[in-house]
Amino acid sequence: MSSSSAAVQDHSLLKQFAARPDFPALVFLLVVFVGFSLFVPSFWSLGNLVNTMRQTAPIAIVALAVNQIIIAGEIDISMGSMVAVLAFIFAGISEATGMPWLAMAITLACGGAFGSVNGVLATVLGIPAIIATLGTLMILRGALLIGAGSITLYASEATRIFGNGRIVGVPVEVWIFLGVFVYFALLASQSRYGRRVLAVGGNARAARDIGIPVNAVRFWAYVQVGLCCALAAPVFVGQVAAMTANVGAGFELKVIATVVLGGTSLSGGRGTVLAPVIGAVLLSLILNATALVRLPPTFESLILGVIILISVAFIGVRARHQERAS
Amino acid sequence: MSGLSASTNWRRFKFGQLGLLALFIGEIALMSALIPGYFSLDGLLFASQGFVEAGIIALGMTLVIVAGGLDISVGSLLGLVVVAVGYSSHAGLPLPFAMVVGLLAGTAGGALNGSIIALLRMNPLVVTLGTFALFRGIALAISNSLAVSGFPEWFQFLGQGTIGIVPIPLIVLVILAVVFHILLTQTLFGRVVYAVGSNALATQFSGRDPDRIRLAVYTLQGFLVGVAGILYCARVSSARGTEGLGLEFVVITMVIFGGARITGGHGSITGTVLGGLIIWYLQDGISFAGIRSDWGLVITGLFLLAGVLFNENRNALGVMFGLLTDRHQSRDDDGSNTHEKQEESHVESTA
Repeated sequence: MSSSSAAVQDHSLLKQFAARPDFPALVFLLVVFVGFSLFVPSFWSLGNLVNTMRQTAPIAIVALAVNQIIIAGEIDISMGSMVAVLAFIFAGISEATGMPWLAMAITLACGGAFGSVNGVLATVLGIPAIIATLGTLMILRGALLIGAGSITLYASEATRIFGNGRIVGVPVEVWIFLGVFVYFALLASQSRYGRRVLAVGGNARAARDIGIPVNAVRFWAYVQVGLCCALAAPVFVGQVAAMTANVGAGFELKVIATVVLGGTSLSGGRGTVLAPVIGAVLLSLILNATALVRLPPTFESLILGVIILISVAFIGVRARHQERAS
Repeated sequence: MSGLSASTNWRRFKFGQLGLLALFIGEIALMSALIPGYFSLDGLLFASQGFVEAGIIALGMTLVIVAGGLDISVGSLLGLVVVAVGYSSHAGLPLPFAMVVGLLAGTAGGALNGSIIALLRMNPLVVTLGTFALFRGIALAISNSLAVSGFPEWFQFLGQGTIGIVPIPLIVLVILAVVFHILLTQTLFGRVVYAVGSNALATQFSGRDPDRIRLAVYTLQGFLVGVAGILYCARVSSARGTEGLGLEFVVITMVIFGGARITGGHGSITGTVLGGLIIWYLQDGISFAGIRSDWGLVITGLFLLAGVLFNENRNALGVMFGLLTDRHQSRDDDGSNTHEKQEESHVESTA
């Protein structure tokens, strides 16, 4: 009797787990991981795995914040320009003063300010999110090209500590990523804000009716994206030896692809903190493996497109299936 | 009722498109006054060269956005079309057939977007993000980052030649713009495109399949990218897989600045053409004056934000100026406007 009820519970737990939005991505990640371990030579080496994690870090840091904003039913496409401008601000200040931590603090302030501008445009002024952030994407990139279009920036050792050093054997950027992940995990599971984000993304009008300050929730989501871009920018500076004003072009689309691959729905109200992490690791593993089996880099975009479309098709079929089941 | 709705349409036109027209004329006048040697009819017509491809794609994007969709794969698809034309002719296919291959590649790409979006009911941003990477990937994989050049004289004439003083690509754009304007304003198809963008569910209940309309607009968009790709290939007379990078943002800016709403149901071909002209000639004037062309990016961004802000609050402004006394709007939580509903009820009450 008791065993059968336990079995029923197990079954429902499994079902619950399988109903998570990031479940298919997780299974896919597992399959990819096992497949690559078996068939790709030198994939399963510590050096390679650490490298993969380092490559993943900047995208994953920003993707965690973008994941939140997508769950809140909004979108931000200005990340590439923000990271580029912030990287130049960070490198410039750090080179001028020789104090990377001070530069990091100022970069964070600037990132918060950029995020606030997006937030004001999209909430107070009511410009649709994708258009508002398209505007800031152009303005920030244009400003950077005007200010630093002819510069190639070579950062010194001191400036590169956030993307080139190790603490207890683990790369600094992986520590930063872990910190950001813990913040978002706690935010989602423990805080009122995390629940409000879900409510606003699920049904904004209902959320307003029960007294949630919808615009404030959205506004903070934009600020978070700005702050995470500010954390990713010094990592970029550390990882890339020479930087031009075109750095990070197309970054925004990679980040959104990462979030979507992890199973977060662009229609809002549904998604997990793990989704961007799964997506980022998946993406890096696949691109890493294609490099290891010596596919030319021109195939990178092709593979990325195929993966996104397969996952889109899978999510679409699954949603229709669930719709029919309920 | 039809008379009344025609007059409200006219008033909307007056406030929207005439404003854009005035802005365009003012812009050209201001730049001609400020920049010595800028104003000449030949010069202005010649400068349209760089605008034509984006303008043609913007026609299709207008349909897509009016129908409540979005397509960010157009830049990549342009790259694929250019590579399809260049490499099939390089492989020995006669150029006219290579052009057909390019058109087919564009149309097939658009149809792929449309069928995934319509069949799977997926968010167009995600789907076209996937094809954005896919099309570029195929183009790069085929071309292996090399360029094909050495096209015959007549093909280059298609992209660079003029009839009288009017460049041929501009003539193609004008013809296509007229065709798409008629399609959107004078045909049942056009009306249903607006209906799908305003309220897809209501369209379905009134017996029109929104999915078929979606498939149609994305396929038309792909076809136009095919046309633009061929003209581009002829103009620069080389073909490489990296063409059209970032074009999607330029095109979307033109359409939105021309008065379309990203939430669907609003927009017009005349608005898009005027919006595109304003943005293009602004950048042209800036580079003519010898100012860093990067300023164009900043100013375009500012224009986009100002334009949308104006558009979103247009009815409020209208009330202020007493132009549109019978409506005012407030923004809903979900980003849609009560404006549409008011317009509908307005029509109902007069019916």
